[in-house]
Amino acid sequence: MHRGLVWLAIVDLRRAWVRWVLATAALALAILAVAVFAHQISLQQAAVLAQYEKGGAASFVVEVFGIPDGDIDALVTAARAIGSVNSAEAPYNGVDLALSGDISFVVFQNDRQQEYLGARTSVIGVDRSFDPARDYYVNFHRLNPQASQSVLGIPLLPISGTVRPPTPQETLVPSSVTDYVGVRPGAQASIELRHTGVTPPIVRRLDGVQLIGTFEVVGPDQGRFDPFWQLQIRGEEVLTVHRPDAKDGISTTLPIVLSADVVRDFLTAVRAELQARGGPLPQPLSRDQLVIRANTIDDVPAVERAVKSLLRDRRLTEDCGGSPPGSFCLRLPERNNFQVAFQEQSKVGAGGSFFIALLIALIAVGTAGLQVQTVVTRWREFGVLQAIGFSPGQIVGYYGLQLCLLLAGGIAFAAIASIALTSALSSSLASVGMAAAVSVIVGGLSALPVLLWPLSRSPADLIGDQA
Amino acid sequence: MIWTQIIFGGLGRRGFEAVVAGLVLAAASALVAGSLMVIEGGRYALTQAERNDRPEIVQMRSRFNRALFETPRSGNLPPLTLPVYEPLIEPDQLSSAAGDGTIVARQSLFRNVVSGDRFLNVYIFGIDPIAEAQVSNFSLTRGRFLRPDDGAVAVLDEASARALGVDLDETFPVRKADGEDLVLTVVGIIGKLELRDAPPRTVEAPAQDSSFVSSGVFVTLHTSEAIFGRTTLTDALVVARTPTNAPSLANDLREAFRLEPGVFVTERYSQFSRKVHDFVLTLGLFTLIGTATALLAGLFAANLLHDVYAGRRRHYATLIALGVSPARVALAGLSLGLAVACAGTITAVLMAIFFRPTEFALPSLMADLGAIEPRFDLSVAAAMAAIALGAVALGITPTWRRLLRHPMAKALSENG
Repeated sequence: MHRGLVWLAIVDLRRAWVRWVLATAALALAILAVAVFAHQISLQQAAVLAQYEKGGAASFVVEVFGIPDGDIDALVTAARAIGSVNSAEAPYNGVDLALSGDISFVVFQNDRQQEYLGARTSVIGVDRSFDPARDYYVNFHRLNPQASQSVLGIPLLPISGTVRPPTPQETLVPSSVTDYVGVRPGAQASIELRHTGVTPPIVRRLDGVQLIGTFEVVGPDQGRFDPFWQLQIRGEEVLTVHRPDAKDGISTTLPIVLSADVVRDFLTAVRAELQARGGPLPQPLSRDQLVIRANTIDDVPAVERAVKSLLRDRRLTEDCGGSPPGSFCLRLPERNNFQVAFQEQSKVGAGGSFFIALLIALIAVGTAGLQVQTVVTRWREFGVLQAIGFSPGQIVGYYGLQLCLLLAGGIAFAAIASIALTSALSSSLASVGMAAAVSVIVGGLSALPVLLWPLSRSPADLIGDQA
Repeated sequence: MIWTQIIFGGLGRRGFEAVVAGLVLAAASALVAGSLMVIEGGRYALTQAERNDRPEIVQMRSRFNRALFETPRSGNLPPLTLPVYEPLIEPDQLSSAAGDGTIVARQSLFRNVVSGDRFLNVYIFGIDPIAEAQVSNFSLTRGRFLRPDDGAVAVLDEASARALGVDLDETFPVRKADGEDLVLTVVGIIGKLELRDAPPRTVEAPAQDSSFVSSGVFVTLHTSEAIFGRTTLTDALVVARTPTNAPSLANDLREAFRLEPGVFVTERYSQFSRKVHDFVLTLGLFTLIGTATALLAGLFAANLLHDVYAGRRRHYATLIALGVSPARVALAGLSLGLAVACAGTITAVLMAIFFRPTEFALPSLMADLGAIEPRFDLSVAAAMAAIALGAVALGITPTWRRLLRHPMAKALSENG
């Protein structure tokens, strides 16, 4: 571009500097606002995904049928080796294995007697990589055959103490139970593990188990447990009082968390006892649930395909109908799954997008308006400039340069302001860049037709037009 | 017809500027309206939070009474009245710890009557009628509410009345701690009951649609003390003098009851104050956006309108010279501006109403306040009207002043 034109454009801007400074400031604020909203939308969407991931939306459950318990660990190891798999778990789920636990704490004792207060709950046996907040799933069909075949994630959220997978001498207990009994982490618990799949139930007592942490259960069985009171005299149980409606079987998904080793040993003992009793096993005593978690929600479909392929390679067939031996079924958790996460993610940007759309509209209308004002005020000038030898291209360049200077000034102010802003509402430079690019495109596109409007007339028409 | 031509005729290229001014006003008004709607939505969310959270209230309760679970529910058993929570809160200890806070004392009891294989449960609450009415909502359909000097009388909700088979002025017995029955006379029936911080419903009782107790029999505290046989409270609310006093009050109460691990103290002020902080930030950001938009875009629209009016000075001067009264000419000028402003504002209102988001959330701004619903109300409409009228006034004033103060011949000889 000719240097004279640049000089002319700058001189022209200086003549009406108040108007241009105000326009630049307005543009800078608009760019900044667009950047803030865009940044917040991306934060919000990331936060929603993170929240869903935290709640286990990157997980899905694989139910396998007719696989011996020993082979489940090999399957878990193979699943962990799949790319994009964050974790694979096969917890001992009391609901599936007909295991309940009577956990109790001493509330009174003297040299003759001890009084225990406790609760009957379900049991879950976990290994060291189990994540209490994301890896506990229950298929309510197992509790109630009338219920549909669907798995529900039940987060075990930390309340007090250390909530981590326990060692064999440790346990995690729902806070509703500890509140009821009135104990805190550090207390010693007695636990009676009960296999209720046979009558009479097979029971093993564990004493001196340390309560290391408590958790809150978010789910339909929050606070649902069968309380009991037990009296022992000289170490012998003489009376245990349950509620009259207490059941021997599993009636709640509220679990106490134990080490997988403890539950595995107990199941081995149960198998031995059942063999000693003779007769067929009432139900298979092996795990049938794998909880697979992908690295991210986006990875879930690919991991699902890989897991299906792995299971087919092991000669398992997919069958979600009758659960015959040698089959498997992939189940997405109810409510909190990757599909819901994607749907929710698309919704959360609506509010910010509304403001972005209005701001961009304002930038477009404002830039076009500024150009309309210039064109209408200098209508005859367009003719005069062409008459003294300026080409239409040079005139477009001349006014376009003014517009470019305005846009550049606005972008520069916005960038400086975004760096200076240190509050929670600061925007990233990337979002400022994106907002600036959008502003340049929108501003240019809206101003160009206005600029071409007088150039579509002949110079004589422009000079002679008095209106 | 002639006035339509006088107002809008001969605009020429300036008409395009008027259209752009209308569009600028539309976009600016929609943006200001959107900002105000978010502020109004935030204010509403905060009001709801204030009403629901009642940040000045500190709740105290003892641990659950295990006998509530362990009492047999069938068989040949005598009627029982049990505390819902273990009675661990001594009124004197509570009074000294509560300081100048208002104590809403409660004895939350559970009446269990078993007859053969049938049982009838109702919750009985011993309350201070005046203090309780300040925190809970009792909408009476018949009769009257409790008075502090009432004796063996009760008010109860419709579900409990149906379950007990009693009506106004009828009586029913409640088993006291000494084994005798106390006969309570019904003096009022409650249609709608909202008991603040009601106990969780752990056993079958009337009105089971809630996980918290939503029905019950209400008696005065001294009547419940007669039933229970002691003055110890099962739970209580302490209303701080101001919401800001709630955390220190909660600390005082925890300190006073530190030797009793079965007493739990809960305050909601901390969470509420985070919501207030969120609202202040929301207010600040959107006020800034709204003000900057109204100021800059409004001034630009006024500038465009000024150009339009400046281009019509000779037009207005001609009308005055022809004998049309200056007031009528001014009205014609105003009509032009108002037509532009109205078109812009109506477009903005339609945009704000039809395209407004159903919910709005910014994670950095509303972490505790959560998603809010933008609300359109009169104040939003008034702000939009003010922007439009302000732009018209600023646009027409210089032209009109020039017309009136300068010689008419000068205006008539102007080009453009």
